[in-house]
Amino acid sequence: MALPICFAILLMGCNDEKTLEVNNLGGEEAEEVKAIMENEESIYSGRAIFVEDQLMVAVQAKPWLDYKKTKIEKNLKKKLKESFPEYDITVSSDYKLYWEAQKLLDEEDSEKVKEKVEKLKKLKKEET
Amino acid sequence: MNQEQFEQIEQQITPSTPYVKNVLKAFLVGGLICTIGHAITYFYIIFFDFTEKTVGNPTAATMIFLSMLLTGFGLYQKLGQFAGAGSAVPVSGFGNAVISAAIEHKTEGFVLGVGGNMFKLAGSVILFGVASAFVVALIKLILVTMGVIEW
Amino acid sequence: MVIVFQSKPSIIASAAVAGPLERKSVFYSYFDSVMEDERWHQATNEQGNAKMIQEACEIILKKADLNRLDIDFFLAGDLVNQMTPTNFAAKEIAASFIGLFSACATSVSSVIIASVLTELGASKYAIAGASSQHNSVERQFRYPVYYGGQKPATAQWTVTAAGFTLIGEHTPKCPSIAAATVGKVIDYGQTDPFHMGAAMAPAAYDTIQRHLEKRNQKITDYDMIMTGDLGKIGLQILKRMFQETGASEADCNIFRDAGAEFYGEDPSFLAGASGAGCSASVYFSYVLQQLKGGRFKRVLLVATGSLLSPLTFQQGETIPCTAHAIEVTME
Repeated sequence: MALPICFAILLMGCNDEKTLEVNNLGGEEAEEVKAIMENEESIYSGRAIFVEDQLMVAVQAKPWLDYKKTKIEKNLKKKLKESFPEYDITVSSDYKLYWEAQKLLDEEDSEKVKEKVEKLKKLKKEET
Repeated sequence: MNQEQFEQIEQQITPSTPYVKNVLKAFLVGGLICTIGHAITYFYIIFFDFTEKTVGNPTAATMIFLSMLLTGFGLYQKLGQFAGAGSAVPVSGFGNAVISAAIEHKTEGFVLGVGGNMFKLAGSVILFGVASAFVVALIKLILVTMGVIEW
Repeated sequence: MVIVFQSKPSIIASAAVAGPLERKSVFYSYFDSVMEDERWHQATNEQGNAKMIQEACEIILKKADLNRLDIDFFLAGDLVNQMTPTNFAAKEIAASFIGLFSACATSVSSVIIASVLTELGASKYAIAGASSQHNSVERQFRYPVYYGGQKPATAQWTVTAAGFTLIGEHTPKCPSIAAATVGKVIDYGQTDPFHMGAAMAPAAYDTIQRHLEKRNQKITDYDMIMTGDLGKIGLQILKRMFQETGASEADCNIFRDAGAEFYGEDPSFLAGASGAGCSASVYFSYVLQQLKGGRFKRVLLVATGSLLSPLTFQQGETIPCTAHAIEVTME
């Protein structure tokens, strides 16, 4: 009983498939963002939120690469800046933003989305 | 009966420390405490506005609060007798050391008793923790200046 | 040094008082009084210890139908710094006070000095004994009571108990002290304060050897030789020491230990009980009652003590120990 479960959990870690989601307000840019995140080797999941001139991308780094989180964020931000120069981009590998992004994916009201994104950007800057 | 003969007898009769069992118990209990700590971390991230960077403080505070309750009710010592290092090493063990010393010295008043003796056991942890952090930071500074690693 | 008492001072009355945890003791039914609160409803542990000593002395006076003014000497000691509980109890008892420190062997060393005073004719009634209180001893010698440290299987539990006796001139139908051996300090290089049984066993061996030799006796001349607090493992070490020097295994069954038996087989008390109150409460309740009841005729009570301090342990010193013995008979 325990063995197949352990097996499945182990295999989940070896899974090459990424979970990439973008919110509805994206359009064709959603495909671009997905492509960039697909190429990024070091993450296994990503969520992108488009609202007005903001783009927030929350990713989760692969387990053993946690210590390189800041570098991954920087690289990803650079790549996204090239593709989306007109957007104000925020990239984070923090679990909080990832979790909140999940909730924002289905949010229809763009005002609320904008508010939330602003709040999350502020949270990201907090040190303690 | 001279000392050598006695020492032989003593060695034979004194039961040996069950290291393997103790290590396993410490590992399991220590891991459990850390798992609980992580569950509390996720609780704070999901239900409150903390990020991974900022959640360390409330998590440690909550763990210490729980350790305080267990110590006050006399339960932490039972856990300690079972787990050994497993309950002594995490932050809850540090809390237990400080809190138990504070409870003990209440009879001598708050300033000289509680205040003066609270860090009887934990004082060395604080001192050597700060000292080693300084040394590690110094080493990192040297390596960064030499260009071996980056900040 | 073996002292032979020509006048055979008697133990006229005795009392043993214990704390709430000691209800778990196999000797519980022999104790005179057991308190529900380990501090005797006092503000500090040390005050509670003092109250316990006073309680034991009150019981003795009642049993012997005496009052405080009849007591010539009060001899006692405990394990706390400067023997604070005993000093404060002595203030209340108001007899001439001789404070003694032999760690856990104080129960017997106080009786020896009381007997000498009685033999000299300097004392008609003297109260002698010892006590210990768990919390105050733990805090001084080891860690705060609520600290979650792990104790090894050789560690012992300090009891909260007091045992006192009334020593007077020879009285028929009372247990009497025929002889005593004052222990030397023996140090066989043991350093572990969590394994005091091993440190004290050589001292007990030395004292018992000398007593038997000087008195021209064998182990089998006694119905029981009971050490104070060697604990389960220390007792085994002592028995083996005697076996290696010629005693038979059957002979060694005469050896018993108050600490090893105190809490029975309960594993949470590890290797057994210890503390000045351990030997005192068991000797001056169970053993004396067995003597009076005729089950024992001649016993050797060997209280053992470790003469370490919290400081010596931190300074890396070994643990010197001593053991004092009294030969108690019903003749």
